[in-house]
Amino acid sequence: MQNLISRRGQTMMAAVLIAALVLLTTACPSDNQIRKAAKASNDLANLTNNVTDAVRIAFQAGQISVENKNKMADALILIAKEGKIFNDMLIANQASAQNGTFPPNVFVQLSTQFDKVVQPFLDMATQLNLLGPNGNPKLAQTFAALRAAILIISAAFK
Amino acid sequence: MSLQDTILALNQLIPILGTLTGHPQVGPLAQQLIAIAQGQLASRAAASGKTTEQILAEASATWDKALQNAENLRNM
Repeated sequence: MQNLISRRGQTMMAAVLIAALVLLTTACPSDNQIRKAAKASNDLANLTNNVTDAVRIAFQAGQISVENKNKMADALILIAKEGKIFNDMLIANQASAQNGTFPPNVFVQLSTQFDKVVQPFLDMATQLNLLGPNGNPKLAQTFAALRAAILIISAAFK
Repeated sequence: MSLQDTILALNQLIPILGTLTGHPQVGPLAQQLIAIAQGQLASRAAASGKTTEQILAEASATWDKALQNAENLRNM
């Protein structure tokens, strides 16, 4: 019974989280391309900090090993570096945008760089899901929700 | 999503998140999940009143902080 309540609670929590993230990461349809990209960059930067905090707390609570903590930290360092480059590219190319829309060649470059930010997040989520029954189900659930959020943020930019 | 829709969504979600925060089955990671959702709420609400230039400047500073935090995590 306790397990049932716990599972129901976890399912409800995950559903609420995903619903919240879907609502919050859906870009305003009236936003132009450059504003959508700026918001996506800002959202991902905040998400990176939030994930770092979640991993730190999980590690301090003994829920993940040093090895997994280090793997995730390495991925987060990569994400932060690529994210900063993406943001710098947005700032540098702001002047080239016509009515808030980037020229096609600039958009391709931005899109390629954006993928470099998103891909490590998705890889991290996949890696955690592959840990299977011996892994940490709550952590896997966390990253499954984050994976959904990342995909939504990506869709809002592209 | 309009500002009105966002405010309506926030009004519906925050009480649910608040209920979950006090739930005995919600462990440390779940608390973090809720904090992430709340952080996203705050970030989204704050961004709605800013210019694109302000959002980009804020994002730049947040990416710097993210790199520093991740490096601190690696060195723990």
